[in-house]
Amino acid sequence: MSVWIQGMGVLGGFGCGRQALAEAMERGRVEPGSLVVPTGQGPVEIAAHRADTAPLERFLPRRALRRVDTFGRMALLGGCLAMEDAGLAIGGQAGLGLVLASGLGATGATLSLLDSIFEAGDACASPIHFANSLHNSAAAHLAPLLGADGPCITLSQGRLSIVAALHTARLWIEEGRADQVLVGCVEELSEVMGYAWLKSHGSAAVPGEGAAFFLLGKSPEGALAELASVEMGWGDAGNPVEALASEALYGQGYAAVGLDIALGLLRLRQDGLPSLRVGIQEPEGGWGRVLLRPA
Amino acid sequence: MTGAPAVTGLGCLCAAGGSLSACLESLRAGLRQPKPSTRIITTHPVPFPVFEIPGFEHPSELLRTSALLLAACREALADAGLEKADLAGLRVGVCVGTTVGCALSNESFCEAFRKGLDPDLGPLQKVARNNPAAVLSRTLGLTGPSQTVVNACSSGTDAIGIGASWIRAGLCDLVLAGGADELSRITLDGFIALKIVDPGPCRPFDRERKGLNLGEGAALLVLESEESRRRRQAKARARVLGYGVACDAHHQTAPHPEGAGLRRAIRAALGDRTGGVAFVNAHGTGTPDNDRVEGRVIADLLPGVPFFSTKGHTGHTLGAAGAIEAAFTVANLEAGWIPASAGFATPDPEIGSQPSERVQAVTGSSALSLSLAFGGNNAALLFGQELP
Repeated sequence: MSVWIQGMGVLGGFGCGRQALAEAMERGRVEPGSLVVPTGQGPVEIAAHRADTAPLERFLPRRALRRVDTFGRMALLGGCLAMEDAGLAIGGQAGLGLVLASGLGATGATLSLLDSIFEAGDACASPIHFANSLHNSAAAHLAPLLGADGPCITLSQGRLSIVAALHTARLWIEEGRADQVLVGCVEELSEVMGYAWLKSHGSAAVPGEGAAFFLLGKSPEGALAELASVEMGWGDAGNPVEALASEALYGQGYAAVGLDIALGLLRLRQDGLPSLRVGIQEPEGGWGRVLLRPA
Repeated sequence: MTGAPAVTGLGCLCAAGGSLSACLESLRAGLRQPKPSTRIITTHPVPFPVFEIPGFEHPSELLRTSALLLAACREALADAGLEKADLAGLRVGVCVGTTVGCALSNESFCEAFRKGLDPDLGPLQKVARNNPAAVLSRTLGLTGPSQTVVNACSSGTDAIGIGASWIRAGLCDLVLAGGADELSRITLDGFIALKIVDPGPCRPFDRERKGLNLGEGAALLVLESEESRRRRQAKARARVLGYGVACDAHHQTAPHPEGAGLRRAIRAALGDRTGGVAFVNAHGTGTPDNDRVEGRVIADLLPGVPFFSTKGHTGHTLGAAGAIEAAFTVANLEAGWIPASAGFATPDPEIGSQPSERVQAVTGSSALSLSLAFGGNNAALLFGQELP
């Protein structure tokens, strides 16, 4: 069965939306912002591609977001952008499937939860931070907003998370569990992740955060591309994948794989390529790749 | 697409027992021993009881969650008559559910970070290396798809459902599917903050229920294609006849009051089948909301079908719960009996149905195992002995 990408929602250091990524691709480079990382020697400012979730107010009143953390806001914005790109309403999407992916999860909310315990004791753990700290909190925010009452799942497989999500979504469509599935990955560059990046990379590489969402469906009408195949496994992947050299647009890190797929889709369309394979081979052994074809 | 995947091996450990057979003995005998944790030290004024696995030791390079999963896997592979070398020529996938096993919430690291002590990244790197599915794939040298489900309390059920899909789609000959989770102070504090932890032993479906008790454990099912099973002449202990998954799309932490998503998940798992369900192994956490919604939906969709919760024996093992309960479901269906729903004493008129009060024989060709989760997720697995 053919599965089609009917809409795309992206955000990162380049801005938000398909057009913003396309413009960044044209320019070839995005000037990174910064992240202040607390260390024992005082705050250290590192270059980082940060995602701005302010445009979410176009879809939701600010008041509705008061209990939603950064991780959840990125998911909401990415999801809304993909739905809008596909010409679908934000709400009333009965039967829509949802597959969320995150290698790191809501690390900001997790640290905030721990802060509440460290500062005031176990009995003062914050229930809001606890709810937001769970990996599937992003889906828990997104499903009610969209009215997506179809199958729903969240996956975590390091940088391969988005490939695993696309794999599951494609299977759900093939099995007839849903006609359309919104798939997305979200990765947050929280203070603690910034610290981890600084400790392991110094200033030699620029990290990025962001989200990449894809609305998959059975209909090729108006589709951006065909999701021709999704493969994943363990060991040596064998076939090489395209090197997109995209770090200059949205930085390195767990968010980059989902954004690479989005960028691959844009390149496929712009360059008139017959197909494009995007994927990753982890040094530890996991691999995943997707094959895109023009619509 | 191929036929219904066979369950050819089961492995399980939790506070009810160190193996599946030991767990079943506890269930049959009605034994349960919730106690304050020996590993988790908190400052709560009440010593909330948990279901901890006593005396479980593991190598320091592994998270306890991963070690529990490996222990369940060893038992499941032995039950299936498989050794590591047998897997080499097969397309073997891994699909595992967890919650704690993927959380970057190492307390000592985070506390040192907050104090500006520039902690070493070792604890975070350890979590990253311990992705449960990756640990199994790496340890067993597998080459198939490897995926960890983090869908809160339905993770284990969803992992088995997805693993079964991989076999039906012809992607794998065999899938190691299940779930694992360890007790965590942070999770315990979080559930207490949500005010859904019972300060005493939990009482699923009871009128006086006050909440859940946390537990820990792991279970793994060896799912196998019919072609592979026949080639090995392995016994199918049961088959995965159906899997349903649906979201309430209602609230971040509370179930839909009418169980809208749960109804769709059960109907999807049952498919065209209208009868023959011997029993329902319910999620039954002991929280007021979960049990009210779940009990009503079971009574409505499956009137007269006996149901029970085993969380009175195991505690709520979160990402492992669906897998542990799936293993119990297969074993109980095979053995033809179900346990009493531990902790239940007084019917709740708001539910309008009551769980099994004693060990009883059951007849029927299939059984359901249900999970409800944070985020409004609902999942159902139908096991049975129908031929594909």
